[in-house]
Amino acid sequence: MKNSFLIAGRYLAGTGSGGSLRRIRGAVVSVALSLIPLIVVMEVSDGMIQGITARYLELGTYHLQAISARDRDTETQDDDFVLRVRKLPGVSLAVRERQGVALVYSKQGRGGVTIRAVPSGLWENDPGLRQYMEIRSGAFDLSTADSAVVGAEIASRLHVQVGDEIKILTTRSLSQDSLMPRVSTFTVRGIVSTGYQELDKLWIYIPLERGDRIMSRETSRRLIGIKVEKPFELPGRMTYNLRGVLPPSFRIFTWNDLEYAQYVSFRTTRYLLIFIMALIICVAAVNIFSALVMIQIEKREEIAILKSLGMSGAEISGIFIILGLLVGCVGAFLGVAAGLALSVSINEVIAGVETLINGVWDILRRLLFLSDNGDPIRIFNPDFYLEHIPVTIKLEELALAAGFSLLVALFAAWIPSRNAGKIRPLEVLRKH
Amino acid sequence: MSEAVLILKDVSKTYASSSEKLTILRSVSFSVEAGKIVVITGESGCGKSTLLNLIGGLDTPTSGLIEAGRYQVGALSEDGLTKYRRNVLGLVFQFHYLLREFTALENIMLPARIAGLSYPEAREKAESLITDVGLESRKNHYPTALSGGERQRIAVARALVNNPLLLLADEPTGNLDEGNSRMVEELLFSVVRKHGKTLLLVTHDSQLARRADQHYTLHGGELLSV
Repeated sequence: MKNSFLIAGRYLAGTGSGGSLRRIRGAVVSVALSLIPLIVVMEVSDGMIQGITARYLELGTYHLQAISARDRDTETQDDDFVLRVRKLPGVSLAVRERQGVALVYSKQGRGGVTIRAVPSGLWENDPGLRQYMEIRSGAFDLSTADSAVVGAEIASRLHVQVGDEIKILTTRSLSQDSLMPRVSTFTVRGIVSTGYQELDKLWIYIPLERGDRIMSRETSRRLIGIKVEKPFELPGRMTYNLRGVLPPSFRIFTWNDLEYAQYVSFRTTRYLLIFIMALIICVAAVNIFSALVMIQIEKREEIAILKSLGMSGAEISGIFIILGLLVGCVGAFLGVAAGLALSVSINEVIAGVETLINGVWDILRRLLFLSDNGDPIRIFNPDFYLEHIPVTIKLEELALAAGFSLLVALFAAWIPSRNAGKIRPLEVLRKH
Repeated sequence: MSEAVLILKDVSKTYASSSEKLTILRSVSFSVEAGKIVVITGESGCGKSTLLNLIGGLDTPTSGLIEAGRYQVGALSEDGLTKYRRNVLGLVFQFHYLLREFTALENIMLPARIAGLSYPEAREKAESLITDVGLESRKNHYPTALSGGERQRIAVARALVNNPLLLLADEPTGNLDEGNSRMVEELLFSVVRKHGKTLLLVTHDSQLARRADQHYTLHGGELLSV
């Protein structure tokens, strides 16, 4: 096969040849171009899903939650359970939290919110929270009983700033049909952003002890939020260990249970996109096939002479198999390189495209005397997507994509190679 | 008397279509001794190339026996034919059929590489032959940069690189002008003589026959000694 490789290499390099070289280059380019979207989808979507998921885990659901199904357990008992959980190996954080819905209002606005009553030292003790939560102004300060840290969207809706006063209206059930309202006053100590507008307009953090007082058991839920060292390698083992230290009344939920629908939805979308992108590679295979068929026709005389010089049919077939693989290899290399470059700079690319679109739109708007609503056009609505897409490069996925394109190239080369191997020198040379 | 390199016994070739049978060769018998130059002449379409194709294993006889070296050509399998072409034959066609992607020297090396010689061995042989055909200064040129005569000289060198037992040449000057034809003929004969090769050449040029050790002519499908 050494000679087949040599000849295929020369066909690919195209030294001294004309039309064949153009066809081979066309096939290489088509493989490369078809791989770019696949690589981008694989690398960006995975980073995006992990980014979105990690942000939800670190800011919202914790990695695991232990929720007591019994009303009789007291807060003091819960604190004791928290201490037990913290001692488990692999646990990096365990805190008690109380959550409930409430109405919040200021002098200039109001809205429904979720109150999250958390320990005052949560910010200092939770690196995940610090990593993903951005403090827009003030601090994540819950050191006094009247402290509140509010989401950026709520602050905007209430028109409040750090130091302003807000009132939170909670309820307590008196009987089956009646509720007693309770108004509590807080001072805004910090304005924060989770990176999601939908969460920023929902959450207000207050000190845990105050939360225990203003939110009744009937209208709120208590939970133990747990974070572990390796959240994405979750944990039958960890769940088992937790069951060992918590009473049977506690139910344990992993982040996967809590965000299952969303996670599966992301994954399914990702797989669908990858499937569609893989189909594009199959279309590129048609290019390889047609290029090789044309080359085989163009090179019939050369093939005939090679056979008459003593090259076997298998070696002749080998030329085209190797040529197909070389086209696949070079195309895969270029495609993976370009796809990676695009993936790692996807945020800049999106920003650039948005700038371009907004620039063109601005010119059109001026030419057509259209009014400006002030909002720039965004490709991804930050209400639902990350403002910055994290990209994780997985070498095994890159290898898989490159391997797939090689396999497709091999398949595309199969028929032309067989036909080339069957060429009978006399038939070709006689015609010539 | 030298050993016969090529023996043909009662070789016939008939092409049959649905309406007629066309017999091109009728009971052709002859043999060629090692180191001899044999020329077969005849008019266009008389079957010269067909005869050469049968000997070259490019076509199969309808009947008869062709033996070249230790190979019975008509009975060879595809693998056998490949070995036969590698080990016994050198072929020069009317058209040079050089590979465009390879330089002159690489084109000469190619059959040697196909036969399994290492790169240095093949290169050494090719260097020697390209000097013999007077194109040493053109060895790194691609075929597109060579004249018709030069290409055909490279094709002659290529046919000789594997030290073939039998060199078959089918109208090797048929595509060349007068000047180039004479140059290639001269070269072909001198190189074959120098290397002690056996040459079977078919041509319609009767002048060439005067330089041959044996001369046959094909007429009406029959081979006649001249």
